Amino acid sequence: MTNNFASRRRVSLTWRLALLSVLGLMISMPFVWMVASSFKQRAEVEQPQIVPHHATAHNYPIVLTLEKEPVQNKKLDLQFGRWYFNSVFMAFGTTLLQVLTSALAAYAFARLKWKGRDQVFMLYLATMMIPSVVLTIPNFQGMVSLHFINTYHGLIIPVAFSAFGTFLLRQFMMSVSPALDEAATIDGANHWQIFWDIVMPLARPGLIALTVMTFLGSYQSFFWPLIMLNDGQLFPMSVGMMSLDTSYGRQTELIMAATVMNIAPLIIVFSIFQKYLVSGLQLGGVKG
Amino acid sequence: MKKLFSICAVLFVAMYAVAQATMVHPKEDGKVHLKWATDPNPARVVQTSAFGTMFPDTAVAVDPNASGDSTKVIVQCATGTGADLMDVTADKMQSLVEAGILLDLTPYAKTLGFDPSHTYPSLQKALLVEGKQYAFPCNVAVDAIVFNKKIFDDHGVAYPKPDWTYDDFVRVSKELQDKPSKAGNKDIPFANNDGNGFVNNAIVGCGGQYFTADGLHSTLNSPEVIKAVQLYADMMYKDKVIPTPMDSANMSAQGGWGSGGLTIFSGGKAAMVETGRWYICQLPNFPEMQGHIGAVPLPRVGDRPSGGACGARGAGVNAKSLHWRESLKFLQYLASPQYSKIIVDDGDSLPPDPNLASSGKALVNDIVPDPEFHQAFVTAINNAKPIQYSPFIDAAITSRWYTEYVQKVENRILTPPQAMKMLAAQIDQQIRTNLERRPDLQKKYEQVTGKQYTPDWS
Amino acid sequence: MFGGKFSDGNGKQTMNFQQVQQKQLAPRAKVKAKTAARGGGAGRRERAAILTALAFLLPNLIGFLAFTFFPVIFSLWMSFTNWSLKPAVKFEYVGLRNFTDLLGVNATGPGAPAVLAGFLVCALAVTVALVGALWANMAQWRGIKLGGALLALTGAGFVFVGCTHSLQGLVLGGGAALICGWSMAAKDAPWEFGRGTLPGLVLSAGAIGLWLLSGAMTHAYQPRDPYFWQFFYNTIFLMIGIPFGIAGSLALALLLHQDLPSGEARQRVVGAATMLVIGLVMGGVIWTQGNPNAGLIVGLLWLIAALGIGFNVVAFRTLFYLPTFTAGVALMILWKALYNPKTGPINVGLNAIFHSLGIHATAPEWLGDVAWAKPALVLMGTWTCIGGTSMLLYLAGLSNVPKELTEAADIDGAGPWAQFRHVTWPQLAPTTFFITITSIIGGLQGGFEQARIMTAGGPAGSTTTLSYYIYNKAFQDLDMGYASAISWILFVIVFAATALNWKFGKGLEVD
Repeated sequence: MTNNFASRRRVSLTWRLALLSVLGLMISMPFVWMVASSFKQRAEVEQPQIVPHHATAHNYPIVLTLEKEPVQNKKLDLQFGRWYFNSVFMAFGTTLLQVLTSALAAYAFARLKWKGRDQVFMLYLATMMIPSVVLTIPNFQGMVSLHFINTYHGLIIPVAFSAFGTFLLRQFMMSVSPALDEAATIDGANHWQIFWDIVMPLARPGLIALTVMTFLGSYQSFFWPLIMLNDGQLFPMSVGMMSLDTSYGRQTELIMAATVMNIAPLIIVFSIFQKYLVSGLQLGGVKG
Repeated sequence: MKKLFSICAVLFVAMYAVAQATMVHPKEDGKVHLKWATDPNPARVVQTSAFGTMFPDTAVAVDPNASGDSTKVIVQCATGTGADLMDVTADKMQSLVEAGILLDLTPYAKTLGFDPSHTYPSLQKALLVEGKQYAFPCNVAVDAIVFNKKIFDDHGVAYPKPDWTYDDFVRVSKELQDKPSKAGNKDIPFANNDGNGFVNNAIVGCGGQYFTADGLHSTLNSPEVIKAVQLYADMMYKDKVIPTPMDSANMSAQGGWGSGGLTIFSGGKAAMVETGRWYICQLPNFPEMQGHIGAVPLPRVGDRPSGGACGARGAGVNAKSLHWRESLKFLQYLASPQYSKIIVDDGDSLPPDPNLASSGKALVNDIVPDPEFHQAFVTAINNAKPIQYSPFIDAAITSRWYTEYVQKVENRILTPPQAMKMLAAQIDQQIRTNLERRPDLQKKYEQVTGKQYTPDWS
Repeated sequence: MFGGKFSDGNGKQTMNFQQVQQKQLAPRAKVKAKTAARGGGAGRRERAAILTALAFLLPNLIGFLAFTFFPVIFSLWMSFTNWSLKPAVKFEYVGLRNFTDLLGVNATGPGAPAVLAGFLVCALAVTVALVGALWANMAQWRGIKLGGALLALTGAGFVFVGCTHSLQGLVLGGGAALICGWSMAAKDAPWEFGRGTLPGLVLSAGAIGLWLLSGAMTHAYQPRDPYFWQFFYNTIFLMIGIPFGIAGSLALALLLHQDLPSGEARQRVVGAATMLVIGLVMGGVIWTQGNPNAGLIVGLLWLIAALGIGFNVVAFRTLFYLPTFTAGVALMILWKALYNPKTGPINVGLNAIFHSLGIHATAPEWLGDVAWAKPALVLMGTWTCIGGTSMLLYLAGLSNVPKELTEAADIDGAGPWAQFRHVTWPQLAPTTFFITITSIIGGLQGGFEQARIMTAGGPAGSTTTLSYYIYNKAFQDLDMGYASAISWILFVIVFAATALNWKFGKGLEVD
């Protein structure tokens, strides 16, 4: 019996592991190619082989401006550290503000009953459906009158309020049982306390999901920072990296090296937190 | 939960403080600091510092404009912010002028010494929109055929001669395909780097243009243009001497100098490529190529002289800039021999000053010491003509549609005559609609033709 | 009083009276008052509720009004003007002109109205049949399964791909989708049409009529802006990856939601180490035998398996989530290089496979080929999103499936498929619903960055989506009025799609 069970388990393990490994290999092939390219020389970078014939480790120090670029024989005009900081700072600030404001608004939509609530919520939902490209000019005009061009405020504030975040958190907060806050009301708790002590902890899965999505989205955002900024010191990585694509040629191997360095910390952070992320999501699930 | 958010908020404020405290602000040195929206390529450092030396009371810094994308300039300038100086290319100039972004330089150009007479005669039209000057070239783009001598030697084929025709081009390419490589390499005769550019050059070579002189009708359905497009399609599908653009992975994308055919050529896998002199500033990346490249002017069409399209990456002044007067100094700088010398030396295309490009010998630099190579580009610029756009339809629309129909030919969805006739009809229709709807264009119509505008004008 | 302006003088008086009354009530009596007091008391509470809600809403509302709502209203207004960034263009109100330019058609000959009349009759027949059938089959319709809807969508997608850009494709696809959906709508017997048979026949007749006439229609009427329709088609085409993406995410989640039974810590270490050694040896041998690339791949496969043994599902979850991290400009540059027809690893690999199998075919030219550019982007999109947020949401959903249910099914002797079909899948419905809605909204608005960075919308406009068309109209042609009009039409489409989903979703929640 036990033997049979053990052998069945082993077979199932083998199958699942084999399938997952092959799938994993397929998913990771582009990354393998990316990492391999970051160790290639320019002349080799657009050739199909993965393993470089003449590997070089110089692309990384060149991007970090620790070493001179061999052709120009001078250091590149990059501010990798600064851009890195800017990316993290921008994503962090956007996420913090967006999660906070979305949670507050979601509470109003999910847990409070007031006249016109559903109408206002529909309005929120409807604005999600307008393509954001067309809002760029009016928004940009707004930034000009607020003197936000070329500042961190201009990067963070306009994207700190999200209808999507409100929608997502509302769904999570709706699934928290109303009996809990009714009991709290009878105990004399006010809405502020209910919000922080009851609803927020129970909406944790939604908060985690929104945090991850917002952080990644903001970390990768390109178009808005591109048109908002003139000063290289304020660039996030996504925009700054494009300095490697100039009329002197696209330096693919350097772009790949920069990308590897850009995502490596995210991978590490994700593998540490993914347990909390998934288990956090498990608590509530999503209700349509 | 509250604690977590408070900690995050404190952290955020701390990061903000650090970010602000470590910012390097431009020095308060009494200088006027200008911003120049251009791609941040390595040569800019030399170029901007030389400007500072020439005009000590001003300084210019690059506003890194990722991948030569015009969106940023348009959005920023339309709302009154934006850099003082910006890159202007021929197909973008008209849009920027119509958007009121570019300053009309005509009143100042003569006295400050950067009017069109300071550059190549063939290029002068490319700096003007409706007779007014809006830019001065930073570098001048004109194409020639650049070839890899090693591959020609390897296949035992003679180098192309300066006075050659497209028939010769096909013959040479076929020889390269037929004669085996001694080294056993698989080489392609021609790397198709820029399909649109190739056709543009062929159009000028055949004596065609996009529009009639008054700009009221498209001439893209003219026999000259159809011949040029047919030439391109035949070489691709009948003679099979140039790869299809998808073959060489030359997918144009907005912004980005791409890679495509140039990389194939630089990798020593193609014998020829059609490109500008600016190619040589990428050359130091490919040590194996050095000392082995040559150039000849574009092939001729029949009895016509060799000729191609020319253009310039020019600099224009933001009309809403507070420092537009100082920005004019930058154009003075671009017109100076000192600036042109920098361009000659780093090989970033032809210099704006024709005196420094009088002959191939004058253009010799460290990268390519062969005067014959540079001579090809001198010949090219003297025979070139810019592509002219119409004031009655957006240049952006024209080039987008043009690209679309050229790609339809490349994909063999349409034959060249079909494609060009449809394209011209579509453009003419748009011109009629524009005229019908826009009183400012009707006025322009009256200026151009001297006739009263009526809805049935065409 | 804050709420005062919401009522007339009379109502205000009553409210004030009620407020006084309310104050005098002891807290314990509140519950009683809740049921007793209607009118005025409710009004006071209402105002208090609005104030509280406003306090919570305010931080978000200010930003929402300033950065979303105001620009949206602004763009709505602009869609009725000729607003251009060109100072020379005199700003004026043009009414519906932008919309008629976009959606309008021009008759090409005198026969056009007759064709149109026939077309309208058929369309009317279809509509009447549809409404009638809906009414007759209400019971079945309400019970429609998401599976039916998805199948119908996929069917529509396939027929769509098979057909050309023409209207026939649309009609055929729509017909197939309807019939699929219909047969699934009948609850127990999918092959029965039930009371819908007659309307179904009328429907089919009408649809065939539409199909026959559509050819004549496309000749009789030419759209004023053919690009709009082409780019709309492109947008829809690029969305056919969505069902595959969702199915893939679900499959991955199913594979990953339980730990691999890889044993105790010691066993795991031993297992992982063994696999690493095998990988190193095998890869090393192949590498040194002259094929470094194959060696690397084999070695990597073993490495991944070793990681899977060592770190269990965490390793795979992270691996599958990788593309989501990298999404962005760099990823697009990477994929452009991967798709390179001559030197890209994809085609080099494909051609090698074809060659070794003796097939005389060359791999497609992907982004350069009108026919292959869209599938290439679909493939990239599926790769990017398959292990992303959808997978995480499914993982969360799976762990919410009550253990008792699966155990009960196990005891009943249900096989894995039956268990999935009858227990897991229904339980996942809300998650599927959320993912479907957000994917459809995203899909309809998508394709902008990849077109801008990878293809410039080409070749020959085949990868231009509506959002990229909006971008081109706004920032290349400076025609903001027209761009706003396109985006409002897109808004209507997205809204309709969401509303439709919402209807399906409501049905799901009943399940």
